[in-house]
Amino acid sequence: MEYEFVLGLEVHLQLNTKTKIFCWCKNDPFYAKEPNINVCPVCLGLPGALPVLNKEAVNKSQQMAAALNSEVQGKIIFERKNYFYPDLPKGYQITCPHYPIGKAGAVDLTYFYDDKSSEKNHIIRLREVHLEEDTAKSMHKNDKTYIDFNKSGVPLLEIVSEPDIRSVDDAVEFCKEIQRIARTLEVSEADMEKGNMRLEANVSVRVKGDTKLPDYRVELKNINSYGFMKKAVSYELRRQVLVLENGEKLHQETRGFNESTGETFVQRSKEEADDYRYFPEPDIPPFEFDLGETRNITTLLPELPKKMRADLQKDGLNTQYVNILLENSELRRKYKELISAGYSSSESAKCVINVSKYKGLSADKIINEEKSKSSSLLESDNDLSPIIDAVLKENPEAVEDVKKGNENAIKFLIGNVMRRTSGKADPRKTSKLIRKKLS
Amino acid sequence: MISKDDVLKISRLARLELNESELDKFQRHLAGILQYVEQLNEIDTDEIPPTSHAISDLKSRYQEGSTDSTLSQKEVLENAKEKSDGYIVTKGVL
Repeated sequence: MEYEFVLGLEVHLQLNTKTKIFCWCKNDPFYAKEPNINVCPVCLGLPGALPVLNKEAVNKSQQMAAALNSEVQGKIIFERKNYFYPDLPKGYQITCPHYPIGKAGAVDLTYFYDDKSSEKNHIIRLREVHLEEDTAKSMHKNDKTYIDFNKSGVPLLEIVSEPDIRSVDDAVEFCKEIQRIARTLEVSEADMEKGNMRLEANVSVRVKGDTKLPDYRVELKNINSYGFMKKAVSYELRRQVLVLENGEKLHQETRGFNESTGETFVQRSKEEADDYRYFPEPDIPPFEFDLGETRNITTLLPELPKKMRADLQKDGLNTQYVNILLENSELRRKYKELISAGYSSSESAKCVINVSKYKGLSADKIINEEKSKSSSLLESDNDLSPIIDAVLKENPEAVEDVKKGNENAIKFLIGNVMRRTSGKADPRKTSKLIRKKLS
Repeated sequence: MISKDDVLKISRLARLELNESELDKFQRHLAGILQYVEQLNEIDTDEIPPTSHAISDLKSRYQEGSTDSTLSQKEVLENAKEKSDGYIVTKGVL
């Protein structure tokens, strides 16, 4: 029997606001010089401390929701999600999954597949987009846990997909698209290696053609790279299909992934599943937004990756160039500057991406280099002639070979001229002059 | 009536240890509270939106300006039973 994935993803993005979500502490979890220096009674969860919402965090969340085609909501209500863990000393996380920033939404990956002949559906619907506080960072060594509250209270945007993903490739592209949009909007660095973008996957399988959702799902937590996700999710697919083919049933559980064995293992089964006892956060009254304001967010969005990619493809660039430019806003900007300076799209892309000596140079400098290269090209016979004469004199054997009709010998002589002129000789002119002199 | 298992579950979630007589006592107390609240079900609330906060016209406010509420590392660690190199140290949780 043929099986297919039923995969949903939760993407967490740390927003790059100046201050934390509910207090005035600096939002700087990765570059702080020491642990526990951007910390106050609110992010430490001390009794009596009161959270006050950061407007920048709301604005950036709403932009992100709008860019994901999600309906930006007129009202958000924060709630307490109760659980015990040392990285959360209050005993609850403040979050808003039930009255979220955005409801529904969709990420359309179709544009990213050049093969449009297949009728595959690459539209991943979103359930909701909500805002919450990040927890403290914990490190585990020697049977102890070390806690740093610099990360506690960093605004965290959670983007929850519907279980619409049917392939590992789509899962990766879905995350990459969210990453690209976040970077385009400049709301998050969205760097998985650092940890300001984190993933959770809900994996189940069903017989291909079935329309009903399976009655279980396996949660994979703490996925910190695309490689990790590919391996863990692919392993789960194989494991679950085997279980089903043996006529056994699959259960709701949380599994971790062991990198060294390449296998997943049970972390928590359904019986121990959390009961978060959500209730409205009494310290934060509901937030209401002006409808005109929320509608405006969409119109004020910058150009998004989908449109960028279409434009780059219209420029006639190959897929490889398009993807590199799409991933890197710096290169894209330089590319555009070169285009407006009059260079062709292929020349511009090549200069920006392929010419290693131009790496790290600004567009202006690249243009200058390109200009000086073309203007200093030795083209006139008067400039080239004495150099060619000298080269011919030094290489009598090659000259003899050329006279015998050996084409490689001509190339050898041209190469010598190029070396002497540090590449400034026009190779075609040089070739012509050598032939003339030796004929 | 709320079951003993429910009471045990709630105490476990709240990290409270109850002995047999406490278990009986809280089963009775919780049942009483639930019965009292149960009276609300006599009212038809189909058309009424859920209330999240007791004072219904309360509007929230954003952070304004900046307040220097950040503590020094020394202050942050002051109440910790165990600390090391600027970190708060707890029992291992892994």
